Amino acid sequence: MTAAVRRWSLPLRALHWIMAALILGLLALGLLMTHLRFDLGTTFALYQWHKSIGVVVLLLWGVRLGTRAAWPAPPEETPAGWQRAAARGTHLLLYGLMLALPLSGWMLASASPLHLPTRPFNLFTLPDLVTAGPRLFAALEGVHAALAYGLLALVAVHVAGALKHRFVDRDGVMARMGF
Amino acid sequence: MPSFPRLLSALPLGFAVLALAAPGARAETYRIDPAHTQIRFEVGAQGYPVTKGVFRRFTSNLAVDFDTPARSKVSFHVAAGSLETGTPVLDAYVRGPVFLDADRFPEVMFESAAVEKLDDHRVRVSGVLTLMGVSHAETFLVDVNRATGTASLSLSAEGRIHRSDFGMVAGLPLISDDVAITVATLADQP
Ligand code: HEM
Ligand code: HEM
Repeated sequence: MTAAVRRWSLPLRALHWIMAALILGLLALGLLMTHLRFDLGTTFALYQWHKSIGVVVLLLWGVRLGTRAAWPAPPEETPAGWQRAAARGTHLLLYGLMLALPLSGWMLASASPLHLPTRPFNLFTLPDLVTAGPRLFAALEGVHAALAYGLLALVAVHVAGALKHRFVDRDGVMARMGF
Repeated sequence: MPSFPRLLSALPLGFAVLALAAPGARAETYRIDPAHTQIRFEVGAQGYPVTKGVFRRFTSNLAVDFDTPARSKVSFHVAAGSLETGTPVLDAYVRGPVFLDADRFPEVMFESAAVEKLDDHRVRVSGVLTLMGVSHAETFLVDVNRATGTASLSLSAEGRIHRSDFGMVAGLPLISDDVAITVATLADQP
């Protein structure tokens, strides 16, 4: 490793890995809770965890944006070209989806015909973003799922890119996010 | 309905007859044994098997008059926060403001107003149930059985309430309005 690894700021690195873990967990939990059958208690608990953690991601998204504003990004490692542009585009889209997913989830929970208040970690009641209704709920279900699959695909591209830097290019890009 | 063996359920009939013959009997106080008491409820929800739960903490008073069943009395004070369904996340939610609001309404109370004998080991208990600060008349059918050779009574009460009567409307109609309540208990004479 070279003496001067140009890393992202510590808060951003911490947020990157915490949020990566939460988001991958939410993708798995979301698929699990909607595709497997459990008793009411278990299903209820899985949904509450999903919504509670999802709300945390939404909050952290705001913190992350603040972090990006407070500390400048390290100078680019990758030479200008399509790969650099692709990485930028991917990161931008990831930011968009990291916001769109919790927001669509929040709308989805508000629109639910069951219409039970969402209480993240049972601490407070999340206000409704939309009026409940079965048609709106069905539409938002599709949106939230489509965004989730989109995010999953984009994360796959993102991780593939990171692994290429690490094992093919053997450059310092991975280390920029390391500790 | 609990299915007692035929023979066993015929026994208390004899006791009841004996009790009727004894002159000057009056209401006898029983101690409800918390270790042998289960306060259960069942709620249906669309697309799921019934969800069952219990209340763990309560105090109660029971006085039984075998001569004049109408003079019998029963009351229960149940801690709303002692609800358990087997899923802690669900418990916290149901105890919370959306359903029981146990912080504001810590007690669920039942106070009997009238006891009516139906047959030798069944009575109908009517009274007032107070839930979330709302009082509403409810009735329970109670099987009364005297355990052979002891003074203990085994009681099994069943009732159905509409939770909307008490202002608990969350999740309607996907989570049913009907809640079945059963209380099974063993009561001794002190
Ligand atoms: C980054 C954040 C999130 C991710 C990655 C995510 C991911 C997912 C996934 C993969 C599913 C399953 C989709 C399907 O196949 O049907 C799902 C469902 C769901 N999500 Fe999220 N979610 C996030 C945030 C949220 C938030 C914040 C809420 C609510 C406050 C929420 C509420 C829901 C609900 C209610 C469902 C179930 C929809 C149904 O019953 O069909 N999600 N989520
Ligand atoms: C788990 C496997 C992951 C690996 C190995 C990984 C690796 C990396 C690396 C090495 C960078 C630095 C790129 C550079 O400096 O040019 C980075 C940046 C980034 N990663 Fe990941 N990542 C992972 C998961 C995720 C997930 C799940 C998300 C979000 C859904 C994500 C979002 C981002 C974003 C937005 C950036 C740009 C930096 C920023 O502005 O925060 N990563 N990642």
